[in-house]
Amino acid sequence: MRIGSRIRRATAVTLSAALMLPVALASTGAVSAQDDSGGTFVAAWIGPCCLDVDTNNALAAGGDYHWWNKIYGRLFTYAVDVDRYGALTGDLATEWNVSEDGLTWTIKLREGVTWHDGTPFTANDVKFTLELCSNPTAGGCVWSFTPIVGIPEIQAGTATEASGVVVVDDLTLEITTAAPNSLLPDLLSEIFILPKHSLGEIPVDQIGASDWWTTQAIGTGPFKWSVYTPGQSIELVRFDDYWRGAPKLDGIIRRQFQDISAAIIAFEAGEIDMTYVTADEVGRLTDSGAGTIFAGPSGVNNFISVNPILNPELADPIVKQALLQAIDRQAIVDNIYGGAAELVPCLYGRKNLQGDTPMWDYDPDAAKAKLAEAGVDLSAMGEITWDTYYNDALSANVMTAIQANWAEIGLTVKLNPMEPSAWTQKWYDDGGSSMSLAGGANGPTGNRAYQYFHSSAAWPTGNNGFNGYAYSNPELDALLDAATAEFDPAAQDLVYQQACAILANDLPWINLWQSVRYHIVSNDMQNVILIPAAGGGTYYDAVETWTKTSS
Amino acid sequence: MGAYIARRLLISIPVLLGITIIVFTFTALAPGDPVDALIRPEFGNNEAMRNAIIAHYGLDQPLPVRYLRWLGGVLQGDFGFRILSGQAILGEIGRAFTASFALMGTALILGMATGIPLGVLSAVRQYSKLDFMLTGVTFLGISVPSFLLGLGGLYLVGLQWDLVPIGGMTTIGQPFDFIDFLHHLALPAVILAFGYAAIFLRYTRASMLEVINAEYVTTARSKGLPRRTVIGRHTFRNALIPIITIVGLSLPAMIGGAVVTEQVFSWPGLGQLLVDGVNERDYYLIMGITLLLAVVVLIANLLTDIAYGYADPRIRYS
Amino acid sequence: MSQAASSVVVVPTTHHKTESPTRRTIRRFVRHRLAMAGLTILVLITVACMLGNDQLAYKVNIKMGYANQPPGAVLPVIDNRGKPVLDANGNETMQTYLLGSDGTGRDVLSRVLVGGRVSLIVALVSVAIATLIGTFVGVLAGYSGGRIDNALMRLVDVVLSFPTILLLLVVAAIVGPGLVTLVIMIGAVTWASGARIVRGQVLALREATFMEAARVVGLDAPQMIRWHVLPNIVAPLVVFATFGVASVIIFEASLSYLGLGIQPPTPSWGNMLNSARSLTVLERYWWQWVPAAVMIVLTVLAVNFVGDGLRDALDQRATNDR
Repeated sequence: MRIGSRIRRATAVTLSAALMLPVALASTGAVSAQDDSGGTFVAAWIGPCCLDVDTNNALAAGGDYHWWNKIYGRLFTYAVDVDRYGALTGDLATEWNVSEDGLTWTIKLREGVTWHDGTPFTANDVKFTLELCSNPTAGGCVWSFTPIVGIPEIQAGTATEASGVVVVDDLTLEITTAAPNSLLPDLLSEIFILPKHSLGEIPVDQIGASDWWTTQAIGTGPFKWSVYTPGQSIELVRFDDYWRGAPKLDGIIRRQFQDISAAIIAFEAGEIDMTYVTADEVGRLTDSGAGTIFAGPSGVNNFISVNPILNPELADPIVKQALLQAIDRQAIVDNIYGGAAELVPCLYGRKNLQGDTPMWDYDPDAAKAKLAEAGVDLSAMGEITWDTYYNDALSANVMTAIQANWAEIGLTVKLNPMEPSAWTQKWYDDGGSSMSLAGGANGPTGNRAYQYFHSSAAWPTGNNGFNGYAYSNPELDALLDAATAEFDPAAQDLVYQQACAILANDLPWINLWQSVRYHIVSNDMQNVILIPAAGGGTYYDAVETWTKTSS
Repeated sequence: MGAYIARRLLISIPVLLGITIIVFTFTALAPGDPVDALIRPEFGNNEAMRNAIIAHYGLDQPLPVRYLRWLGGVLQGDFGFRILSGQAILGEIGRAFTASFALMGTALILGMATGIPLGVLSAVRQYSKLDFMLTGVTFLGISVPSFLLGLGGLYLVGLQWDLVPIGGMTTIGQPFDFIDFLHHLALPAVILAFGYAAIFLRYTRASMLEVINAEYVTTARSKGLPRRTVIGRHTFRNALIPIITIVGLSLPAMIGGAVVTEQVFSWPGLGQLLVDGVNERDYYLIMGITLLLAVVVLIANLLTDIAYGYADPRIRYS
Repeated sequence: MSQAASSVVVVPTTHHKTESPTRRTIRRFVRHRLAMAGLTILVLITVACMLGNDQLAYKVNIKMGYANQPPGAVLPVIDNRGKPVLDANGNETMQTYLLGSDGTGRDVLSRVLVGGRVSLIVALVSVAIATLIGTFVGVLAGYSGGRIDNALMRLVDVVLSFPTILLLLVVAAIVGPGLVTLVIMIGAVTWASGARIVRGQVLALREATFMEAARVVGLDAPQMIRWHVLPNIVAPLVVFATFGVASVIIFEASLSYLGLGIQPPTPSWGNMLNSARSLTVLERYWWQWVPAAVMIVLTVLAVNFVGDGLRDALDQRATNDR
């Protein structure tokens, strides 16, 4: 069976008409006749996505992929279509197909790609990267390649080499999965490929904390490391031997900002060309015409989690549905988010995975009826402490609104914003939190549900549940397993839609919405492709075509 | 005096040890550990990875063992490495301290240079229009949070009037230039100096008022001495005591005292470093900064006590 | 208001005066115009805050775009479902947002008044605690000298060296957040600088001529402290307290992320000021943060003037009874 590409239907993003939201289209690569090269793109990679300039480990960062993709390459990326993601295309890989039994993938790599120091890129680098990421002593890697044969042993610490990743020759790789997994290319698209010849010199247990990342980082991307000023900035310069051709820009500078408002002021002063922007600032910036606003779904599902051990009455799905129906989600989105969020029926934010799973609409009377039917009296439960690690004003307003909604059906909650580490310990380690407002990545594929809801992903091995409890629904398990084995995209979508229906009914997470994130880019820049999202960056952003007119 | 100093330095050692033990214990008592901070829940989890991190940093060892490990390292000059980024802590603290010291030191000097003379003036013209105006401006300044002053300053002076760069210590992409550094230092230092000026103004005014009304001043004046001599020689020296105390209390503030201003101006100082350390539950980083802070406090208080002796020779320590 | 000094040292053991020193102090305070103005302002603010409208301060009107209304907006009162609340005659009731509304439609004026309850309690009580403890320790250390001074100052060193954030985080985790915890924690952290300030003054005072004179006359230590030391350290203490009140109100707002400060939806002046972190609010919705700032300035001014009055009233050197 030959799989060359997957067509992904896009997520429609509904946004208030008051906001100007041009989503830049993929550049066809047409270059104007005059020489428009030069200029340095200065930007602030800040916001919920990102760590600071001093934490440069490309394996451990959970966001700002659209920074790392300037330095490193990946096997695959997604082309950008009119509605966010288009087809999966090859970046460092050129061809990929899977054997008849669906277990062995043969991946052909691109010829003529070199690392920033001139060494040729080979399949050994890919194998090295996958094994490094899976090694528990390497200091943490945010991706997990468990479906590949031999990787779980490395993750458990009993092996150092993955038997399922075989280097056939310098430009050919064979990857074997334990079970047929149609999503392997998507899984592989996320990780940045690292140089074995350079990073491999360092003992594995020192890599996480190594200064290689800040002083010697080498990648296959269009820009290479130049200067690192601790606490302040990282400078990249053009890599002339980039396989797509030398970039137009001279360089890119990442500036450190701890305060978003300060970054916005710097942007308005013309000192930086791009920054993350919070939703409440979009109106003011649009009115001032200071730049172009780029918007995109955040890829993060905001949800409420309930602890069924501490609150057995709330464990009943009917009761959880009642809690959800008592919340006027649309009003919160309209008034507190200013329209910059979209309701979701289950984990998934993409319409092709939601199918026609019904949304639990605001209906406090129906909620009360359900509670009566279940025989639960919420006012008899006393005050429940509602924890969260969100400390911003918007989340406080959201929780306040929900608190008011729930008061109508008799539930009293006390808002308790916490510090992230304290929250992690209370919710996951102790299992001592009654209720939480949190956020979880909802993509890029439907398989994201696996790490949250499949019974085999119980905490602490996976992310399902917490100390002493894990959600388990055999029907859901079967659907998720079947989906990864399904190689026809349309059929796979249908399976995930069924999974969505189950999640919408069981409500292991009381799913609320997916918010929209914004960036602003200066009018001096051209050809910019940018999709603001927590894990944004798995798309091809054509940075080598970006130009800057110095004004 | 020499014996006194020697005794003070000697007793500093057990005090330092005591502080480090207490802070270490508190860090262990804080909810959450470095693993919780390092492994964010939404990215899934891996037991082997958690165990590897715990083993690597010795987090499963008993508390006294971990403390002695840290202490042993420090005595050999090894302050450890940051959990999150792996950078050497001594280097990080050194860099951050230089940045903080430059900022706070300038602010302190500016604040003293403005606050003390204005305080004297206020006292001499108590309840005049000038006095009330200065009082008003001072209180306005301290009632407004530092981020507001910072953002407001950046907006006005940086954006609208285009007089200063927005954030950072230097212009990136250019070799270090002292004038450029001063250009970046100007606004945050002035904003912080405002706070110091307010403090010095009020304390100077208060103690000058006390002394102006003292009987020996009226005696001096009744002797016919000109006002300026009376204020200069007789009163100011005694009004110095609270000023010395405040200077002494301001020195430790250079260690992490201006977090918010540092954040707004992206000034990579110790305030931000300490906050990061607490957020990440990074024991070694917290301990390193605490040690520095404690040393500065002890030295500052020692210098203050010595200075008291010079300001008022009648002060004796037994 | 001038204090005409005389060259006579008032020695309180002679009881020729017709009124007690305490009564004289109070009378002098009452005569001090600014002090009385300050006291009045404090009382007014406190009373206003007690009368603040709870309902309006906490209620969230999230429908129909009641958010960010400018001051003076008059809008129909609606319930949570968006239906107008009618009065006895079936007419719409109207609500005036005198100071406008905030980001979720709550009335700013009500929030400022209700927020004052928390801010005033936290600021005044914790600063009072810090001042009391600081004065006690400072006087004890400065007056006694020697070993006691040494020991107490080393204790002060320890307290000053402690990273405050860590302390607050741990205490919040152990004891749980709450107003009492907050007040005690802030008091426990702030007293040390007060002690240093007081001690410095006392060290200088100990050697002053009039002190020797009083000793010669035969006053014992407690009397010395009560009549000669305390009145002379009031001046820097007033400044300490004034600054303390301002900084504590603002400090409390930055604590909410640790789970120790005032949790939403409860308002406090500090967390109302925090909304100005957004440039949109700073620039366009100024009524959401300016009132809180004004209240803080007024409170601080009031505390300062009351303090000034106390200092002038307690000043033993003036026999000019005005």
